[in-house]
Amino acid sequence: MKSHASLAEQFNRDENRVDWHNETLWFVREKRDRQSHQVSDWEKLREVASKIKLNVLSNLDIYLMEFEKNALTNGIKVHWAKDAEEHNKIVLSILQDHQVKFMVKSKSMLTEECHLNDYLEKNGVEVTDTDLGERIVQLAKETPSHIVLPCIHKKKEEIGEIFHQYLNTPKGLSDPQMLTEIARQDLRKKFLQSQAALTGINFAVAETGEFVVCTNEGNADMGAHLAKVHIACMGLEKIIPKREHLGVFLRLLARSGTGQPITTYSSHFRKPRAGQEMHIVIVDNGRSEQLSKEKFRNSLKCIRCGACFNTCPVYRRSGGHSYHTAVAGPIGSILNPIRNIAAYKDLPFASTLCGSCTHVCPVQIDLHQQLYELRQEIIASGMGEPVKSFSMKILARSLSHVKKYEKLRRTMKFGYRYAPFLLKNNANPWYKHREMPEMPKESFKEWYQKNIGDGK
Amino acid sequence: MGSREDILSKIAKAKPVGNELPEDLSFISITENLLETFVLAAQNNGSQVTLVEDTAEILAYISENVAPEKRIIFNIKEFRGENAEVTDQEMNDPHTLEDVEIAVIEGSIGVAENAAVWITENQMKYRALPFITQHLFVILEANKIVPLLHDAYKIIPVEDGFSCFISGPSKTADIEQSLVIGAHGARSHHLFLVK
Ligand code: SF4
Repeated sequence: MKSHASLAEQFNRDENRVDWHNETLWFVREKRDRQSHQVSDWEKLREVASKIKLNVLSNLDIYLMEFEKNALTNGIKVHWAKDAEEHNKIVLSILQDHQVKFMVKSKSMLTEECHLNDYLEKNGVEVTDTDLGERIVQLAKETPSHIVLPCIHKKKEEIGEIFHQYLNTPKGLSDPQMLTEIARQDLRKKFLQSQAALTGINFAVAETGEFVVCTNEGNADMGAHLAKVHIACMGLEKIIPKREHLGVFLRLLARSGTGQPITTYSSHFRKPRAGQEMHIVIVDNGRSEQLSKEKFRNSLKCIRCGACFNTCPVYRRSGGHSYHTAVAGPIGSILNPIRNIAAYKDLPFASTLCGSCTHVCPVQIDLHQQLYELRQEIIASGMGEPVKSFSMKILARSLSHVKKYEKLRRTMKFGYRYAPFLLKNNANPWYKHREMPEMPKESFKEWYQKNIGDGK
Repeated sequence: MGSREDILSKIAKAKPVGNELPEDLSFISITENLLETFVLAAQNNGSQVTLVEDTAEILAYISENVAPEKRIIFNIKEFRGENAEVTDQEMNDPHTLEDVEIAVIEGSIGVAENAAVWITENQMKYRALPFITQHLFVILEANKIVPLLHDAYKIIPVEDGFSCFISGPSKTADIEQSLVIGAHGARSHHLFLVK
C-alpha cells in the first residue's frame, strides 16, 4: 500500500533536492503574489469567480445541456462518458474511425486521471505529449508531479540526460534554452505528421458552445490546427455560463498559477475548420457523486491553476509523486479521497492545515477546512494510521481526567530526566522529524499553588 | 445515449439549490495612460513594440530587417500586391505553412492590463498561421486598446470558428523555471501600434 508519508520519506533522503524543490515552487508563489497585488480588487475578483462557480454547481445539468446544444449547432460532435473507461473507449473509437495511428496531445490532467496514454498505446496508437514538461516526463516514463509544472521535480542536468538517451543529443547538455530548442525541433515533426490532436479544456461556455484552451507554448494550437481530427476532453465541472465570465477567470488563472497576467495564448474554439472534425468528450468519472456530498462539493469549483500546490509547505517538501495520484497537492488530497477513500486515506494528512492553500485559491475553495473534515471522517471510520490512532486515544483519555493527567505528567517528567531515550527514539513517530520539547521544571499547577494558591 | 441521461439525472438529484449569478461584473479599471500600460505589459510578456504613424512604416521595417527570400504571409488589405504572398487563394492543407518565416496580421482589440490582443480567424486567414510561423507581427490601432479583459469581452462579437487572445511570443519555463522564449509557437512577437 502506497502512502504519502513513506513516499515523502524517500523524496526527503536527498536534502539538497528538497531544498531546491521548495525554493523553486516558492519562487512561483512569490510571482503569484506580485501579480495578484497589482489587481486592486483582487478579492472581489475571487469572490465573483467563486459565486459564478457556485451558480454553475446549482445549474450544472442545465448549463451542460445548453452547451451541448450550442456546440452541436456549431458542428462539434459531443460525447458523454460516465467514467475513465468509457472516456478512453470514446477517444479510441474516434481515432479508429479515422485510422489514426499517431496523435499529439496537449496537457490535460483529465486524460492523466483516466490513464489514456497507456490505454491508447496498448491499442496501437502512438501518443506524443507536446507540453514541454509533459514531454520530458513522458520520455522519462514518469507521470507529471504538478498539474501546471509537470516536471518541476527534475533538474536540468537530468533532462539533458533524458534527451541524450531518447533524442540522441550529445551527452551533458543542461542549458534550458538549448534543451527547449531541441524539443521544439523534435516536436515540430510530430505536429506535422499527426492525424489527430487531443487537448484539454480550461473553460467551456454554455452560452456560445465554445471552449477555451490556455497555453504558453502554443502546443494545443499547433496540434489542433494542423490535425484533421481535434478531440477536446473536459471534466463536466469545466462549464461556465456566459462568455463575459471568461474575463473573470482568465484574469485569475495564470496570475494564480504561474504569476503571469495572462497565458500567451487563450484560444477560443467554436467550430471545426473546413475539412476538420471536432469532438468534445464530457466526462463525469465521480464528479456527479462528488456534487451530492454537501461538505465537499465546493472543491468542484477548482479551475486547476496549481496555486495551492506552490504554496503548500508539505507539497513543496515532499514532491508531487508522493501523492501517488494524477492530481497531487492540497486539491488532489481532497478530490482523490472523496472518490476513493480507502486508496487515498493518507492524503488528507499530507497537510499542515496552515490554510495557505485556502488563502491563495482563486475560486475561494475552503481547502484546509475540507482536509480537516476528511480527517474526521477517516478517523471516525477507523481507517486512521494505527500508531497515531492508538497514541491519540491514550492521550485523549489522559487529558480528559485530572488524575490520569497528573500521573502521566509525573511519569513523563521522571522519564525525561532519567531515560530520555525512551521518548527520543525512532519508535516515537513524533520524534522522527522534530525535537521533543523540553519539560518545564515546574508545571503550571505547581507554580500556581506555590505563588497564588498558597497566598490566598 | 445511456451515459448522457445517467450523468444528467445524477446531477439533477445532487445539485444544490440557490446560488444566483453575481450581477456586478465591474472591476476597478486602469483609467489613464492605456497605451503606456499596454506597452509596458507587452514588454514584460517578451514582445517587441514599435509605435508607427501608418502601415507603410511596417513595410519599410520589414524590407529593412527581413531577408527577401524568406516566406512572409500578409493578411492585410493594404499590403496585397506589395510584397510576397497574396493569401486570397484557398489553401486546404495547413501543413504547407511549415516554412513561413513571418506572418503579418491585424488584431482587433488590445487589453492594457495584460497586452493580450484579440485576433479572429478572419484576421489569421489560416488558423495555424500565427502559431506555425517563426515570427509573428501583429498590427493594432492604438485607439483600440481597452483597460481590462472585461471591457474587451463586452465589445468583441462572438465569431464563428476560432479566435484567440495572443499576448506575446511562445514561451515555456518547464525546465527549472528558467524562462525560454520560443517553445512551439512563434519565436518572437512584434507589435506595431498605429497611432
Ligand atoms: S483548488 Fe484552488 S488553488 Fe488549488 S488548483 Fe484548484 S483553483 Fe487552484
